[in-house]
Amino acid sequence: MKISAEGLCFTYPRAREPALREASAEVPSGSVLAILGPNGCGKSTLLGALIGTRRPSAGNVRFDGRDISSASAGERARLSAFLPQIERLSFDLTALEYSLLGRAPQIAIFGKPSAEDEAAAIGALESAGAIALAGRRVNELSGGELQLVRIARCLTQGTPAIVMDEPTSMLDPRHARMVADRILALSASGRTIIFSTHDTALAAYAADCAVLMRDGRTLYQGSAPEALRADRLASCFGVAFGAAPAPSAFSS
Amino acid sequence: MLAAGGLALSSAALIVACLLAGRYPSPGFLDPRRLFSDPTAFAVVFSSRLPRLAGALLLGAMLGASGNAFQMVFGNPLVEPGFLGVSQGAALGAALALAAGATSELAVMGAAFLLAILALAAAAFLARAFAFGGWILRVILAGFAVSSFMAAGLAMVKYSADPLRELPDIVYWTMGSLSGLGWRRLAIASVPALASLGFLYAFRWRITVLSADEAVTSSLGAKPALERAAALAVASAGVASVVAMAGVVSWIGLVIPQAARLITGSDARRSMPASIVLGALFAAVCDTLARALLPGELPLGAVTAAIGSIVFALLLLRGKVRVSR
Amino acid sequence: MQAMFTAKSFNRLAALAALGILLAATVSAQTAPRAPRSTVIGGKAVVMVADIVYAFPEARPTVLAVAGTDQGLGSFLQTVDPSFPSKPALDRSAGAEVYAALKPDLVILKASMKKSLGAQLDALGVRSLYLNLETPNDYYRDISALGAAFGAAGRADELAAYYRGIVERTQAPTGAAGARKAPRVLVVQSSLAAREAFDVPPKSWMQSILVGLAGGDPVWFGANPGEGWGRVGFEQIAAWNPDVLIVIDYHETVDATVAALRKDARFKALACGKSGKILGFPQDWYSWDQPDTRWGLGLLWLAKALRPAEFVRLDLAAEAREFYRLFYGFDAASFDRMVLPRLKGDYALDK
Repeated sequence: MKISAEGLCFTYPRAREPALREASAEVPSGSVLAILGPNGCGKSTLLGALIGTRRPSAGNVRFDGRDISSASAGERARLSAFLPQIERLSFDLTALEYSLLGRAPQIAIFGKPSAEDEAAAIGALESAGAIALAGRRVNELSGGELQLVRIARCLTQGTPAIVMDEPTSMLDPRHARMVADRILALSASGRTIIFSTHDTALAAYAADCAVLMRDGRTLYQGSAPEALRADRLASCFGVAFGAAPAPSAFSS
Repeated sequence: MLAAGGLALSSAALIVACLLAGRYPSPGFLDPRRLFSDPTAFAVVFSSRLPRLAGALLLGAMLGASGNAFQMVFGNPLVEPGFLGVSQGAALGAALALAAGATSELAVMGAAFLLAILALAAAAFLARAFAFGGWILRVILAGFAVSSFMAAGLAMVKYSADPLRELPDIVYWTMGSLSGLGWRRLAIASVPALASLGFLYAFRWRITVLSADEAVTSSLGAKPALERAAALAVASAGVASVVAMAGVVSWIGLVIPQAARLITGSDARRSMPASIVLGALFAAVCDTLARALLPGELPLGAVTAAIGSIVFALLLLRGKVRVSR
Repeated sequence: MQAMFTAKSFNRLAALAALGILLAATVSAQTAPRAPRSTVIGGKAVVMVADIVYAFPEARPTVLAVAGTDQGLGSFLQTVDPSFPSKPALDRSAGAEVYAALKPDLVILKASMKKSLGAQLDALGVRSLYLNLETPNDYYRDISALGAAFGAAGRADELAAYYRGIVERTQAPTGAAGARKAPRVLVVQSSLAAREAFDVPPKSWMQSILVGLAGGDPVWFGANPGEGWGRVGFEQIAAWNPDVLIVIDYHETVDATVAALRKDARFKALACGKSGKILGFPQDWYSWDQPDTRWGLGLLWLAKALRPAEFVRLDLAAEAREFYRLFYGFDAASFDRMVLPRLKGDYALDK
């Protein structure tokens, strides 16, 4: 599923400044796109526009050439799954029950998951590397384990695209690496992945292409190695970038 | 399968025990053989106790189901189904009808139901008018405002009511009671209550979906605001009808869903039916105690509050009530 | 010694004594309250207070205002005093300042108002009289207090004698005749209104006292330890299975309520239903069970209901006629016109 966005403009209600100013991004089918930028640059807003929860005032988003602004919420739910940065987990569902939530677009409003749905959820847990956690309660999992389960939920949805908001920002190096490997594996299986981050090492490891954003604008778009040059990163983040002095879990 | 059969059997046994317990002919259990020899015993069991028991089962089931729906939709185990102003509105409606000298059960029930729905609409309107905060905060504040207003109105009515004729009825109503419940009143309340129960039961997996983060439910293709509003409105309507029937009975809607989720887990596919069954049985037992413990009738709300608060304290002590991750 | 009793010193002593007596007389005349020329009857539960005050003809012309008249209270009082509707309205929960503004010589209230209004009325210098009016003994005391306040001791004696006479007439006989079992009685307040409810009065209330005085055995005392009406269910009534079930209905639908209970299959199965002893407590403007001036009639009726053999000749309509004549000066024509049509409940007791 090729995803492209161009000329996106969006302003939050009662905000003084626009959050997106003619932002754009593009990712070929089956590739991984990293969106980088400092806090407040519009990464989350851009992701929201991509999955359709934020309607831009200008510009369009196309999934395989089709403009999704005319698609219903249900149709969009079959195209992309979303992993928010932080998520309220009020109740102690098991990992399997939680993963099953991803089947909601497929299940009628007064329906219940069938055996087929349960099988899909189990399969998703396997693909996410979290099958051992199936019976555990989500509020008892560690950060890394929970992240894998959340990814499983996205997989259960069975969408060709997955959009993630800062998937590793709260994880320790081991779990961050686990998630990054998942991303690579999913991409290898043909899914299109978009994630936002400010971890340049992650982007270098896992992404095929990258977008640099600042103040709602797209500073640079291109392949990951091209985007992740020190000078470009410096102008994006406003700080000098040099070769990393410390070892990174992403360098092997 | 075995567990389900055992559950059904023990529930049936409990219901029969409730039916046989009471103060006739003396405090304790009625010998079933007396039903054939003593017409008064027959009348006591089938005309006096049976409608009450049915009413208690309906009341408990409705409050349990609504409580579970509310707690899952709000993501908060501390909400009660009546807190959006429905309970206080129904109490005010009944008090106004009684103070105005209403002479028919239907009039009082109708007034209670009407004002409960009005309170709900007011809370919904207020919540939308608030400009700040997430939807949970807005709805809770709106519910609190409407409930307080209704409670104030109730205090005024109690203050100016005739202490001889109207006040005892009003006070008894606000404490909840199934005393003297007849088939007619039960039948009227059953219609909206059973419809609401049916809806909540069918909608139960969707309620689990709604309990997730709003960003997640939106991405799953749901219209969270609309679906939440539907679930809460239908649950509230069911609560309004049972409150119109029996007065304000507290704690069932708060404690039963938590106990149910403890047993079956949070997924509403199982916790909803568990809340329904547990709520029904709890209300049946409490009402039996209310009419059988002492010669005088205890208000049902007092019994559920006493037992409910103890159960709640126990749940808290065992660390089973989690408010947020 | 003889010097002390000279005529001069005796005159001096006499003059001093006369002066002393004069001083005492003036002092006592100033501290003894004279009969009030304007009174206000107020507070909640004002019905009972108003009814007994209006039994004193001396008091009637002094009444400035009675509380609660806007709630239909005036309908009885205006038959006694036709000028009643023109009196100013006074709220039942009015504060002390409202009373003071009317500038009455005396405010008469139920004793339960003393806590809320007492101190404030004293502070505003308003003289107040509190009446208990809960039990027969209260009535004797309060009637005497009213007699003293209005300088109508004779009238007070007359009214007290009326009540004492009734208590004596209805006294259950002792000895061999009294050894027979007193009928088991249940008194409930019920109404067709709102929901099926049966409320029993506490032990300390007039209803309970009257049943005891009339020679009944009250079965419900254990069920209501409180100070107000206590609710009981049908089941408990069936367990008690009283010989006589007496129904009070303050909504003025006592006849309909009793008829419904008599037709009810559950009640037909009880002893009182089978023997036809489900009775409605009589009422005219007010039910005769309350601690109102009509409690004498209530006691007479209960005695006849519970011990019919002893009171075959007792005619409650005639007793009511006598009551209204003595207390409120109704002549026969006024009684027939105003009271007789209002009588409800099983006052006749002849079936």
